[in-house]
Formats: sequence, C-alpha cells, structure tokens
Amino acid sequence: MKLLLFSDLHLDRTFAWAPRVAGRRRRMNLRTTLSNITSLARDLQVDALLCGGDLFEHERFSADGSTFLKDAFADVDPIPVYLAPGNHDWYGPESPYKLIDWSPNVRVFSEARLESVELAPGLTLWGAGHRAPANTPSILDGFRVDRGGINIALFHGSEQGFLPFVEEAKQPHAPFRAEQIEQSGLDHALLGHFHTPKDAESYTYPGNPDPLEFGEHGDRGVVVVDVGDSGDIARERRAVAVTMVHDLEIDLTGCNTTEAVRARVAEVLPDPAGWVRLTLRGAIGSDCVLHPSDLQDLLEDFEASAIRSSEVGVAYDLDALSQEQGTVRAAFVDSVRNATDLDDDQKRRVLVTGLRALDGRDDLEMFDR
Amino acid sequence: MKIELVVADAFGPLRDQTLALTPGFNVLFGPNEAGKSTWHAALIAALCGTRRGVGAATREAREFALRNRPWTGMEWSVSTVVVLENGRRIRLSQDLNDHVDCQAIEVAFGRDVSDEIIFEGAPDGSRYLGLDRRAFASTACVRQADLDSVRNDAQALQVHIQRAAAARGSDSTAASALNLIDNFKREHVGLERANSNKPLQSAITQVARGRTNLDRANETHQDRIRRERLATGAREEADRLREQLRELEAASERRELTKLQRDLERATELSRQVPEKPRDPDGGPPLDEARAALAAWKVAPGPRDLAGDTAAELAEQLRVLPKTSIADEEADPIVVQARRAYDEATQRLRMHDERQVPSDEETLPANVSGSELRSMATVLQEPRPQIADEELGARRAELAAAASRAQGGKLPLAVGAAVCVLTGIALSFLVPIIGVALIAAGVGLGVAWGIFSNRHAKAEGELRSVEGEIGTTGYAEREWKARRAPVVDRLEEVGLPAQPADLLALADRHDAARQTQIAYQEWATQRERLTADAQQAAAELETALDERGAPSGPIPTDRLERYLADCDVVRTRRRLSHDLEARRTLEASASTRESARDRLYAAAGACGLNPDLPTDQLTTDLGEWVSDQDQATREAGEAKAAWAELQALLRGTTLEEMSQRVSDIRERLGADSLEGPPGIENANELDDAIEETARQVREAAEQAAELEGQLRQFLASAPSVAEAEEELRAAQGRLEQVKTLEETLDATARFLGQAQDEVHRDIAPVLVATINAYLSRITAGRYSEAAVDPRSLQVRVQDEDGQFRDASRLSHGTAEQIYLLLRVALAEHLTAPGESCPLILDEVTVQSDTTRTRAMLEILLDLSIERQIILFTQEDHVRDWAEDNLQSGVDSVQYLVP
Repeated sequence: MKLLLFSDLHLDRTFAWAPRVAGRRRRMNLRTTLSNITSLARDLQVDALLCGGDLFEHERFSADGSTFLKDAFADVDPIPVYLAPGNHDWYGPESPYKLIDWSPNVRVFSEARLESVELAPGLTLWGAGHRAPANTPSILDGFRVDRGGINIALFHGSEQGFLPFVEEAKQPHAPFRAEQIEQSGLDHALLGHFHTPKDAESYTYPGNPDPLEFGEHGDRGVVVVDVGDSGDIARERRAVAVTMVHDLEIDLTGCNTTEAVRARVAEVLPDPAGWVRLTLRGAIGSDCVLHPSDLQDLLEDFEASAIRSSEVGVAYDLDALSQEQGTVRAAFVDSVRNATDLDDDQKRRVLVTGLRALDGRDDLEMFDR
Repeated sequence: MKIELVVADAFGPLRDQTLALTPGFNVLFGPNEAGKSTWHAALIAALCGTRRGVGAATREAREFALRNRPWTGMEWSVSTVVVLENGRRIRLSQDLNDHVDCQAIEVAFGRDVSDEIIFEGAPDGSRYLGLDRRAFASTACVRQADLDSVRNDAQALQVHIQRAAAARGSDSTAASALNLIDNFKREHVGLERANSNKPLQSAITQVARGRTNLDRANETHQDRIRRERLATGAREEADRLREQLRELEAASERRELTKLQRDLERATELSRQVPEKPRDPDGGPPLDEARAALAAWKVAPGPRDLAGDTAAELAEQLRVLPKTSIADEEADPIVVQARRAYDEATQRLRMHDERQVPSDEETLPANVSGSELRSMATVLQEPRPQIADEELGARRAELAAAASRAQGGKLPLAVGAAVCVLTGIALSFLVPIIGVALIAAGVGLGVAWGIFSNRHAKAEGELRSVEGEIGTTGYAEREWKARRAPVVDRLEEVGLPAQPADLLALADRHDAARQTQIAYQEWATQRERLTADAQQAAAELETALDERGAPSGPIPTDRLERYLADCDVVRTRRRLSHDLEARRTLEASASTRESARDRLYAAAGACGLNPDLPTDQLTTDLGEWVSDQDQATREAGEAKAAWAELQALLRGTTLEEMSQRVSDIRERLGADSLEGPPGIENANELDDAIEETARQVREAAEQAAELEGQLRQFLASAPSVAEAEEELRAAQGRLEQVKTLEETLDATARFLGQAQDEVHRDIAPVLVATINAYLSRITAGRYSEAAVDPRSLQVRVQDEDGQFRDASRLSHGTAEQIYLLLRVALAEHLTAPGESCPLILDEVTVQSDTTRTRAMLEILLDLSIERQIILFTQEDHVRDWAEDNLQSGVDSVQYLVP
C-alpha cells in the first residue's frame, strides 16, 4: 500500500513582509505546489493521497479557492483523497471543507475523534479533524483501536517531545506524546502541524511542502509512505516546492563606501531566481552613505527580496571619540553610551544620527528596511 | 609635541627633500611656486597620514591625491620625526599609495608603536595630542580663509569657536547639527496632522486605509461564506431531491419491470394458447328458442288435481248466503268481555244476597269507651307506696347528735394546743424542760383536734344522706294520690262503680256490640256496590253490541244471540270466497303447463329431435343439445378473450420487442436498484410523487443556479483578505519605521543639546582666561576683561567704561588677534593634558597691513614659548621681522626655493 502524505500547505497565507504583487505570487506558488503534489500522486499511482491539515487558512480563504481545491482533488480521481482539517483550516459549518461539493474520491474527516476507513483488507486508516481554531484536545487520549490488522492514523497534532525543537511560536494544538501512538494500538501516525519535517519511528511530519518563511531548514516536501504487509513503514521524501528561497547573511565590516557595500553584496548573491532575504551585519565606514535603493538594482531580478539591516552598525571609533578633549561630540557619545533609558539598538541609531549631524551630513536615517 | 623634521620621499614635486624645524617660532618664507602649500600638505600628511579605507576613495581623498601625488614614479611617501613632551622621539612613515609601509617607530628603541596611534587604518601622530587627523587639521592649522571670514563675517568668530567645541575637525556646530536634525525630522517625519503630506501622517493614513480595507475584506469574506452556505445548501437540497426523484423513478421502473415481466409471461402463455385470432362460434334462433322453451318448461307448474266443486259451483253457493248488518266473522272481544262482565256481576249480587248479616243491638253507656274503662281499672289497681318513717327519723337524730359532739370538742382542743405551744416556746428559754413538755402537749392536742375534725365531717355527710332518703319517699306517695283522684271522680260522673273487675267486664261487652254493628254496615254497603256493578255491566254490553252494529232489541241477551248468529254467516261467506279464488288459480296453472309442453315439443322439433318422445325424455335430450351448444360457444368466447388480452398486453408490439424492453429496463436499473425499497404501492400515487418531486427538483436547481450565479458575480469582485492584511502590515511597517525614526531623532536632539550645554559650560572659562592674558596688550589697554556666553560661546569684551561689547565688532586687527588667541585656547583645551599642540599657519597675514602683521607676529612669538609655531609666508616684511626678532637655535627662518 503506497500513500502520499503532505500537510501545512497554508493556501492563501499572508506573507506579511512581501510587497503586494510578491504576496500574490507566493500564494500562486502554493497552488502550483498542490498541483505538483496531485501530479506526483498520479505519476506514482499511489493508493491514497493524505493531507495532515492546514491545507488552507480559513480566515483568508480566497474567492476561487473552493473551485481550485475541488478541481485539484477531482483530477486525481479515482485515487482516494483523505483530508484531516487542522487548526488553520478547522472544520465547521462555514468551512470550505463543508461547503465544497467534493468529487466522490474525497473524504473529509469532520469529527474531532478518530474515524476509521478501510484502505484495504486488514489496513485501516483512522482520521480526525479539528473543529475549532484552538483548544482542540488530544486526539489520542482515550482512543484505542478496536480491530486487528494494520492501523494508521492521520491527524493534525503536536507531539510534545518534538515541540521544544520546532517553532517557538507554535501552539500545542491537539497535543499528544509519541508513546500514545503505540499504546492506542496504532502502528503509525501521519501528522501535520509542525513545519519542521520529522521522520520518527512511530510518526511522520512531512513539513510544509513550499517555503512559508525565510530560514526554514530540513528536507521538506511530501512523503511517499509504503506500508508493508506486516505494518512496517518505508518513507521517501520528495520535493514539490515551487518557491526558491535564498536566505543570505552578509558581513559589511570594512565597507566604507556604497560601492564597497554593493560589491560585497554582489559577491554572495546567487543567480537571480526565487526569493531572497539579505541579513546585513557588521560595521560600515562612518563616511559610508547607504540607502535601500542603493541595492535595489542588484535584487530586481529576483521574484521578491527583503533586507534586514538591524544588525548593521557604523564603524565609529566611539572609544576614541569619547576620549576627545572637551568636545560636544565626546560628551554626546559618552552620554548616549551611558544612557539607561535606551536599548542597544536605540543607542546605535542615536549615535549614528548624532555623529552624522555633527559631521553636517544629511543622511541621518540609518539604513533600514 | 614638536616637529623636528619632515622628509618628502616622494610627495608632489618634492623628492628626497627634508625640512628641519626648530621647537619655537618657524617662519618658512618663499615666493609663489616655492612649494609652501606642498610642504604644508606634506607636513600634515607625514604627521597624521591618510585614511585607509575599503573600496572606492572618498571625494576628499581623491582631491588630496590629485594635488599631491608625485608627478613621476610610483612611490608616494612622506615621513616626519616628532618629539613628545615626555621626551619620546617618534618617526612616522606614511605610505600614501596603499598604506602598506605605514609605521610609527620610537627612535630610541627602534620599536614599532604604530598600534598606539592607528586611526582609520593608518598611524596618526595627532593621536598623541588627543586629536585625530581631521581634528588636527581644524585645530592646529590656521588658514588665511579663516581670518578672512573673521574679518568679513561678524558671526564667524563665534561659529569658529562653536565648531571647534562641537567636534574637532568638523565644519558643523552643535547648533547646526540640532538644526539639521530638526529639519530632517520635519522632512522625513513631519507632524501628525490631517493636512500634512509628510511621512508620519502619510503612514498613519495608509494604516487607517489598510485597516479599513482589511475590515472590508473580512466583511466580504464573511458575506462570501454566507453566500456559499446558501448556495451549498440549495445545491445539496437539489441533489437530495434528485436522489429522491431517482429513487422514485427507480421504484417506478421496478414496478414497470415487474409488471412487464408478468405481462411477458402472460403474453407468452396466451400466445401459446391462441397462436392466431379465433373465429366466432355457430349458434342462432333454434338454440335461443330451445333454451327459452326449456326455461319455460322448467318453471311451468306441475300437474294439478281438479277434483271438487268447480269455480262456477262455488260462486253459486256464495251468492245464496243471507245478508248481515255486521262484518265480524267472530264475536268481537269487547262484546265477549262485556258479556262475561255482565254474567259475573249478576252472579256476585246473587251470592251476596245469600250471605246477609243480622243487625240486633245491646244498650251500653254511650259516654265512655271500652279503652277508657280499662285505663281507669288499671289506675284503681295500683298499690299505695310503703314509707319507713320511724327508722329514718331515728337514724337522722343519731347522726345529728354525733355531729354536734364532734363540733363541740374541736374548739377547746384547738385553743389548748395553741396555748401549750406558745407557752412552751416562751418557757423553753427559761425552763427548757417544761417548755419542751408544753410544746409536746400542744402537739398532742393538735393531733386530737384533727381526729375530732375528721369525725365531725363524716357525721355531717351521713346526716345529709339520710335526710335525702326521707325526702324521696314522701314524694312517691303524693304522686299516687294525684293519679287516683280524677279516676274516682270520672266513675262517679258516668255512674259506674270504682271496681276494677266490673269495669273490665263492662269494657269487654262494650267491645263485642261494637263489632256486630260494624259487620252489618259492611254487608249493606257491599250489596249496594254489587247492584251498581250489575247495572253497569248491562249498560256496557248494550254499548258493545251497538258499536258492532248488532240487531236492536229490548233485552241485551237476545241482542247478543242474534249478533252471534250473524257472525257465523259472515264467516261462511269468507270461506267460500277463498275456495273460489283457489279453484280459479288451479285451473289457470293447468292451462300454463299445457302451453309450455306444447312449446317444448315445437322447439325440439326445430332442433331436429324426435317429437314422439315422452316429455321427460324430450326435455333431457333438448337440454343436452343446448348444453353442447353452450360449451362450444363458451370455448369460442374464451379464445376470443385470450386473444384480446394478448393484444392488450402486446400493445401493438411483438413478444420479442417486449422481451427486449424488459432487458433494457433491467440493464438501466442495474443490479443494485433491482432490489430497492417497495416505496409507494399505488401506481397513481407514485406517478404523482414523481411529478411533484420532478417539479421540486426543477425549482431547487433553478434556486441553486441563481445563488451560484450570484456567488460567482460576488466572487469576481471580492477583495483578498491576505492582500488586505499584507497591505495593512506594510503600512504598519512604514508607520513603525517613521515612528522609530522620530524617536531616534528626538533622542538624538535631546542628547546632543545636553552635550552642547555641558561642553560650552566647560570651555567658556578657558576661552576667557586665554583672552584676558593678552587682551589689554593687543587693544592698547582699551579692553581688559573678556566674557564668553556659555550657551552660544559669544565673546564679548569690556571697555574702560565697564561696557561689554561683542568682540566681533572690534577692529579687524583686534578681531584677528582675538581669533588667534581663541584658536590657541581651543587647541589648549582640546589637546590631551601634558601635550602642546603645534600651530601651523598658512599666509595668515597676507590681508593685513604692516602694523597688524607685526602685532600678530608678536603674539605668535609670545605663543611660541609654549608651543611650536610654523608660519608659511610669502611676505617680505614678515621675513624681515623674523630675521630681526627670532632667536637662533630656538626659532628659525627658512627660505623655500622654487
């Protein structure tokens, strides 16, 4: 029995950092990723296509999302599709899960308790869905399989042992412990929620198939799950992402001119494709005049870009300045460095702004974007 | 710090040339193109070096290179030797090309001390002064332009001081920096005001617009969901109805299939029975007449016995009967009843007369009844009551005496007991024995008083009982006398003796006479009633006869007899009439039977049967013939009906076509639907249900399509929530950025203002002290005191009248000198403690007349005592003054050759 598992696609997600056109492009990429997934399901002739929740984001579900989803899963007919709603796409009377006129091959697990469906003689799939955006209790508490054969679960939940190692902001929806899987008589759990992929002995998190954030690591994508006759699980990860993401850190230390900064950035930029985020660090020369537009032409061939420069400093020799004998500048530097009502970032900004003003410069705003 | 020498290895036009300097006042004289500016630049470059940066050079660096790079060769270097105030001698070598060979060597030890003074990538000797190369240039170097500005601009002096106080080497003052910040904020932040088009208000407006758009997008999102729910509900309802219609149609088809299969089986069977259309059977009038004749014979009367009187004879007998006035065949029951009542009444009267009662009477007292006599005898027989008066009287006297005795003894005993006790108590204090004895005696008397009191009460009680009994006996005797007295008086009144026995006997006779009288009266009364009854019965009999129309007559019994005879006549007439009717019917039946037999024979003849057969045989043969004919007709009819049924089943088709239709329906229904629920049994109801459901399906489908269309139209213009959120987030990001900038600018201005105030407060006294040391001298005593405003660093001087005047308003020469003094003061103030900063002046006297030049040179000469002065000049009178006034060994005059 060959299953294709994915989760956490987050269709119609908001990309808060992205310009408007770029956000639309990213959302289109998510749709294309789902098309890649259904194409892969057909190519591999899998026995079932499974989604572990957060297929879309309920609050932002787009106008044509219903038609898109219906067509996407109808295209794989007669391959059965099993959908387990998560906390972002929870099942309710107004849920697209409820309102879409699904093709006959689609089954939505609409109850918060595990329901069974026989995938093949002796192989049972147990599925459950979230019915609220929060406070979904553990799906495995009190559950026990009532039959023999191989029993596989599909739901959206938080394995407590894995939680500390993944996204800090993640809320523990439908929490459970790994040992509950075996205790409940299940052979394996196919899950969604954590975007960080995980192939544990008793469970599998496929991770988000298309990048959602910068800084994501790990072999994300879909998982081809082969279930053997004895219940043994073999997993193979396949990449289906459409979006190419570059997350680059660049040290600008020693750059005294705009040209030097541009040259330093150009050195590390890959071929212009996909999405790029530059995290600039280090201290540029005090005379260096740098503006966001100075780097724009380097990034314009990427689909979208973001620049973080909060860690960029200016190479003022503050110790030397503070040792100046009797100048306003020295007094200013001393008072700012010793100020108790400013944090380090504020001190950095105030010092650069003040020193540039004392130098008579008009680029008082720190390079920031 | 003193600069000992400067070596231009390769600098501008200079190559391998050395300029040695003295620690005092150095005048470097040369005409134009003698290399004064080159040596000036080489001196500063050798001491301070140039910045070593990454990437392209700054504009300032490019200009420096353009002026001072050697005209030939690749080397560009310069060096110097300086002596610090602590005696350390440092050689500074500056590789101005790529800064690789830059170094600072402490001459005494040959040690590289570059790391002590590295600034911006190259050794900077001014670091020993607490300055840097930029600050040194602005602090130690005085150019002609500086003095020109002081002469030409009233504010220049103050600005120069502020610049130096703000940041050494900068052209900006703290005030200008604050002004710059304020302008920058005004342009890049602006005010939060509705009509502002600056970034802050724009960002706020964008955020508000973004929030509005997001709210609208969310509302639209919710509206869309509502519409989708409606559309989905309508679609599901249509689907449900379609499924319901499919089930009904399947049920209908199942019903049709069942019927069709049954019809097919039946049609197959009929086609075997009637392979072709049957012909009509034979028949016709003979069969009908035979069937009618048989039917008539079957219902014809049987044989009749015609013995007895004929109908004519009976009619004659009837005609001769006498006429009567009545119609009764039997005596009327009322008449019979009246006759019986008449007979009984006359009988009872006769029997009563036979039992007549005698009426003799005895004379008895009429004013007293038997019961009164018996009552008076009873009173007279009552005995008189017996009274024991003597015994009760004796007992009452005895009890009265006993009560009197007990009453009489009680008082002395009570008095005696009281006296003894009181006396005993009194004496018990004087003679205790006697007192106690008297008290004991008193107690004894008290006990005796109690006994007497008890006896007296008992005697009183018994006495009252005896007196009651005596009273009761007297009352009974008085009652007896009262009852007897009126009886005796009554007997005397009626004249009878007061003897109970006589009275009782008289009462018995009185009662017997009374009974005899009552019996006679009863007999007489009864006879009168019986007589009346007999008369009443005779009258009723007459009335009954009258009502029945009986013949009249004086005697009821005669009338009754004639009535009874008429009844017999009437009865005979009715019997004869009945017999006549029966006879006539009998004679008619015989005639009918004869006609039926004749028809039977005629029919048989028509059918070809033998007319000579007996009637029974003929009937049997004719019946069999008719039966045979009926069988043939029935069979032909059945075939015809079967043929018609077959044609009805086929409905114009063939058996093969019918079979194919069955197969088609089975295939269309599929295996699953063949065994569906029975559904509606009635075919008409099922058809109605299908029609109604089909109508509902159409309506639901139209409703779903309408809602779906509205939804699609709505979706076409529905804004994206995600895009609205991104728009809002972007606007919020911009607003946050502007606010962060505002906070940064405000904080910068705050800290910068505080620093300015602090430094100005510190520097003002230094300036005042330096100026005061020379003020009287350079103003020929006109001004003796100076003052500096700590806020603005404005310099004012006090004249002889005690009035302070702005220093910038003094004569040009005085202002120049004060400026030099201020520069010295600032150099002193800004230089690290323990060091002295050289003063390098470039053509500072070129705009001054001889007098002002001399005054300035004298000031510089004085200042050279404290610090090294290096003056570049092209003026002859300066050279002349130097040659006349400078001291060899400490000061020097050098001549630069073009």
